[in-house]
Amino acid sequence: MKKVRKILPLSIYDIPGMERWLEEQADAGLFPVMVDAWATFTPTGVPGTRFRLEPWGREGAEPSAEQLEFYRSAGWEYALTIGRAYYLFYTTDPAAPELYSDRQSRGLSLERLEKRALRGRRIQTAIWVCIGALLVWAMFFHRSEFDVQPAPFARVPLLLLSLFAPGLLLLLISAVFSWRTARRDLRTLRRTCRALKEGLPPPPSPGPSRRIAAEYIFGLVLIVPLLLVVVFQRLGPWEEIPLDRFDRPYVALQELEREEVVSYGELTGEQSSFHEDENQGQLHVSLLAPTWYEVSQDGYATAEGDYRGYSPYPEGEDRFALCYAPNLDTACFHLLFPFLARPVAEAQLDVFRLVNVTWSYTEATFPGLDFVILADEPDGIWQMAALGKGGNVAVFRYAGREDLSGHLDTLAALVLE
Amino acid sequence: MGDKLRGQLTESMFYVLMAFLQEERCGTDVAAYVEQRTHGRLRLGPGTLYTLLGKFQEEHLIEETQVEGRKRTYRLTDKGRAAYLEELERLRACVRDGEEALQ
Repeated sequence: MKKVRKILPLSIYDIPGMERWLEEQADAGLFPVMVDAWATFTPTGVPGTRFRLEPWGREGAEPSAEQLEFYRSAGWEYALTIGRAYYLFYTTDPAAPELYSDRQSRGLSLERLEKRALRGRRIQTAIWVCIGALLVWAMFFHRSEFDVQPAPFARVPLLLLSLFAPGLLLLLISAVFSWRTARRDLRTLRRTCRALKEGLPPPPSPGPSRRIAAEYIFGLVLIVPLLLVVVFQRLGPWEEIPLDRFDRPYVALQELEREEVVSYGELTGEQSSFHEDENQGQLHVSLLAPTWYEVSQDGYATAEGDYRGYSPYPEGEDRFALCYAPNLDTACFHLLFPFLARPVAEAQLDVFRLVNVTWSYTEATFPGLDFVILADEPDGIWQMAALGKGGNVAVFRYAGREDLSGHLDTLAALVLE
Repeated sequence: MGDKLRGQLTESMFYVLMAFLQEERCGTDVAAYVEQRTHGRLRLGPGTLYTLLGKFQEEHLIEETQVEGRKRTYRLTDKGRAAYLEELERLRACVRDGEEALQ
């Protein structure tokens, strides 16, 4: 049988409006078989049919046998259940009495629905508040006992960039949108319930509205890009791209080193899952930063030397234990707004900062650059550098023998391109 | 009166409680009793009847005594009787006041 689908042009809690709209569909020969964000009809509607929305009772997904008996004896039949909100009853008998002989009992019948909607709303709000509070605490107020130079708000500019990631942005828009819709619906239900319990007629229905239909469509349409973004970010070529397939510019570790360094695989001739994430790039997406990626590189000197980097083997137990193993991590940004360059650079320095290391920060200058920030671990092996020009920012973290300040020309090429 | 049914009983509530004063009844018997008692002036809609029976049960004004297929039978509790008598007294006072006002 041919089915007709229509987007609901009313709030589901606009009870008189919903009943009237369904009756108009019946007058046009359509009978509802499913009602959700949209309604599905079969062409079996009988003009003059009356529809009434009965709130979900204690019985669950279908009306109780007792309720069906009462309603049937008065000429009303059960049609379908609408979400966890209503049972839909209808009658084609013009002589069938109305379901409610007084407004107060109609108001009472809605009490359970009102309470459930209110409880759902409170739980939803509580969950969001808890998540928000937990995030704020974790981001700004949690202090690791190992952190020797805490800077709670240093990463805010990077959070801003992350906030403008399309997936998160869509999620936030959809959350705000659904919160707003739920608030409007709840207000409609509460007004109706209060008026009826006081013996007053329910507030007049604003009737079908294109705005509400558009909201339903928007809500449904929003799900598609949201799912695409989530799936693409999980499965797409975003994360952990081996450097031999990574096409963004970066400073190769070898450009800094005087002696030859190779990957673990090249050094040993064997593949190790422990080392497979050592040389790879990762792309980030933000509407504020059309270009944002990170590159991580680990090298192993082919000639034996002092051990300066990480080795999985205990010192002295094998031939790699004393191998020189430098490391270079890079984060590159092209920001839409150049005024964000320095805050983002400082935030990335904080991300790269190893919390149990005490850093010493200095400013430097380099021709053509807006800023150069250098950081090092006095008497240690770690160094950082942040360089910026306009909206271009490059931040480096290096562990090795070389002095980053002596390679500014190599590093600067990344932001001056 | 029920804890959650604050304020006075509505006419429908009053007559539904009245239906249980003398005997246990099922829903359809209640509807027939009310119609007969009010000489057809008050006809309880099925939604009204079902809602009030559910509400009175929640408030312990009536309790279920028997289930036979689709038919459920209820009886008045002491709390229900007290709520009925309280409302009756209020209505008597209303009538008294009204009649005195006429004199």
